Amino acid sequence: MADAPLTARQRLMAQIRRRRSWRWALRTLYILVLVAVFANFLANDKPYLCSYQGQWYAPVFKAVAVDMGMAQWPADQINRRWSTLKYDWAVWPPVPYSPNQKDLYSSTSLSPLGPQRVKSWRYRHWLGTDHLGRDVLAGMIWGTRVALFMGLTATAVATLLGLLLGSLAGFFGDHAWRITRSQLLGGLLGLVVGIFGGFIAGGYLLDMQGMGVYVGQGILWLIVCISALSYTLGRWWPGPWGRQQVAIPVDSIVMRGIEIINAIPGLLLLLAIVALVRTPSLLGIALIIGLLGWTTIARFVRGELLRIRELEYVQAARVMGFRPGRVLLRHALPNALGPVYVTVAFAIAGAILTESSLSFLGIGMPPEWMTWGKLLSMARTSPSAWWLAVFPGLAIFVTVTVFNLLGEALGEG
Amino acid sequence: MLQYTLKRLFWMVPTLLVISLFAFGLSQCTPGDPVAEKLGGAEAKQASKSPLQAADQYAADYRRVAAQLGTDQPLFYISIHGSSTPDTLHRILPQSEQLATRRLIARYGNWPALQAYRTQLYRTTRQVLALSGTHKTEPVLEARRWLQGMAIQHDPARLIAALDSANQYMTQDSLLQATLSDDLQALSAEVTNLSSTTTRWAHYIPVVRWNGRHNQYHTWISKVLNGDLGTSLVTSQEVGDKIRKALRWTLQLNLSAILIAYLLAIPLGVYAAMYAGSRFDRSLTMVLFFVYALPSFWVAGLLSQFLASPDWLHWFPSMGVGEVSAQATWWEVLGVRVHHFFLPVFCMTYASLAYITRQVRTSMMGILQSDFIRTARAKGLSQRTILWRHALPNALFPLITLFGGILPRAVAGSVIIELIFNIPGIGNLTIASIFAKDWPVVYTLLLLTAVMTTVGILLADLLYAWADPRIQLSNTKNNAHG
Repeated sequence: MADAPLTARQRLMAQIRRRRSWRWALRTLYILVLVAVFANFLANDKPYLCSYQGQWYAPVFKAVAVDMGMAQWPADQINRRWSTLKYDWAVWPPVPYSPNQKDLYSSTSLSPLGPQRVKSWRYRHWLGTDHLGRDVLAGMIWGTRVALFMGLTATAVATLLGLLLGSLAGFFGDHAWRITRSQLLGGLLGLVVGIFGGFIAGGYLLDMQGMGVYVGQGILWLIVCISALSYTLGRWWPGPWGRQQVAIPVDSIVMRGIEIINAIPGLLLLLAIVALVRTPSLLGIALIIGLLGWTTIARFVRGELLRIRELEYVQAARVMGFRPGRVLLRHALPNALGPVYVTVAFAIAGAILTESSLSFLGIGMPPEWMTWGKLLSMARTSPSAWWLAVFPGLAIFVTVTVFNLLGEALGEG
Repeated sequence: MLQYTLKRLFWMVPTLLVISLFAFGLSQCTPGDPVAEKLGGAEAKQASKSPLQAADQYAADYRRVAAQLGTDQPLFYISIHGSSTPDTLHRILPQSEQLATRRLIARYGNWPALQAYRTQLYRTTRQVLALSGTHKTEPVLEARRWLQGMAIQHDPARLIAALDSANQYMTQDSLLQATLSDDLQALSAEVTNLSSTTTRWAHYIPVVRWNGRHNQYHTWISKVLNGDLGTSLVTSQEVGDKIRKALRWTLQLNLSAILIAYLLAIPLGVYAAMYAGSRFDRSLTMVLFFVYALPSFWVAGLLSQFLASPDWLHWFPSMGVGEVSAQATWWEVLGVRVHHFFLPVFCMTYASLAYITRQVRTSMMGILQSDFIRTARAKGLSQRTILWRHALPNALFPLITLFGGILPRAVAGSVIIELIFNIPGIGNLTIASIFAKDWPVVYTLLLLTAVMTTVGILLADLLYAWADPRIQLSNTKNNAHG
């Protein structure tokens, strides 16, 4: 084993296994992911399988299929209140409540320790209810899904951007990316044309087709215009002036961008944008968090690559005549990823914290999603309900700690 | 040093420019028409006049207020748009009509046809307005309503539906038919013409126009630079006043939190580094690690729920900053403030405490292994002198970068903690303004914090360069992580 080269995944695992706290962090992460993925099956006000008026149904599975767009509710079932029917028999999920479902028997917050008027112990609210009688445990189970989704999506966006810009800045610096004047001219021209065609003239699309199409076609315009014009001009430029090489100061440009983004107060901007948007969506908020959060990752990648590009094996690869893109992607970048894992782990923790702050403040989160932050904020309206303050906060704390611990584990390699 | 300072100052300009453009851009995205809001029910007051006069009066009032607020100006110094859009689009008022026109342009791209349609619509609407002053039958009023609605409509199906309805009501009243039939027919022709002569390719022919200094951005930025930050939409107070009042509490709160954090973190970090690997160091590291992950809004919520509420322990007041009478002595004031500030300051301190301690520890560890410390040991200096006189000042270098964060943090205020403990500071103002859609306050706060951050970073860089002159010469300053 010691001699065989380890795959990246095996190395990560070996790294994490070195300490007990890290092993526990990984196990907890598995549990969190399972809870997030199977939230529908863990807490639901519909039975898994039931017999109602002589007919068999599997409402939970049906609901999942409907959510995925693979099926539709039959007309007679669409408004059926599964939780209150009289079944011949039924198999219920472990928590027979949905996060937004109000308890019919009690409309005040129930303590997990106090007496509860429920049908049987199966229906007990193990973590109590909020002031509308919604089950806290169910809310926490579904909140796991939102928290992990936000953390992972936002960080994925941030990592992509950060890797791209950071590696360009670090690997090429201010002097190494050399192109001919004509190519540069073409690129700049393409930038202008692309911005006009994609974002200004394309802006007429905005009213008719919405934001997604607009941004997508804008970016397409940019890419096509820049590459086409740069190539054409570089190829067909007449005189010798255009053949001279100039360096693109990628590093300065990226660092300036980072400086500007860092000067913008993130949470305040997020609050303002989210409050402006009429119909907030989880994906939209995750995108904004990601777009504001790529700078840390970019700086780490840049710092790593500044060091790595001076190493001998990279120089050797260059001397052997490999193209810079190949040297960067195949040789330099893989070695720069170590510290990136660490920042990614911390970034996930940070994004989860941001999401829970947002929903704690009651801004932007779509009302149909129950989140940990929302549960926490309900504690403010009912001060005696300690369970509302303790459990969701604990969930946030545990999740954030798990990612911090994993980050630490990856960092000490 | 001077050269370096000038260079850094010069680089601040684009950053500040981009930030100001950003705040301005956001303020342009806000829904709602400030002019219409300011005019309010002005239309109702004109009840004594005829409908035509009232409409004219409203349009004139609108123009006057729009000119006052500057919303009838173009947005920026230059405007770049497709040739389908006229230069004078910003002069179409009210804003709702301008928006509808913009969308119609987007759909059809044919400005001359659109202009003909708008002229015809205007003429028709005036006809029916004039008629409705003397001849108040239901069909007339209905036709008037439909025609007036068309001005802010951009969906072709709805436009045709409105036309049909107007036509229907026209047939019910002979006088209406007599005055309106020609115009309505012409209007229908214009609508058909509009959809049959679509020239969307015109979007892609660029037109660049220089607007000069009479634009909304210039007006806005020169006001901001002159210290006129506008008035709050909700309370009509000066934004500057509002922020100044809130700033007082936030500064007190944050500065004490920052001070306490540094006063505790530096000794803790130094001792942890000195006894690195000892039980003290390990337990401190672990405690700080978990403390760092404790979400401050959870801790704040728990503390305010259990230590500051009549339901549980009522050790601390939960509301605000406390009342102090004018003739109270300074220690009474101090007592009240400490009582009120204890929990929020605690919540704000602990997370940064963890972070700063780790920084101090790491940097002390590096310093303690360097040669000059060994020299100091070798010449027999006491442990205390070595630690505090020789090692610490050098170890504090990296902390200078943290100083850059102090300025914005002192001003920005923690939204959640101020909300939980009911402190009327910047954070509370921010969230209240966002909820109340009081955008002038929000954008000013955004701008303020951004400027503070930039200045903070600048100061930290200058301080660093002053403390470590090598920085000014090398370009590799940014090599360090973080």
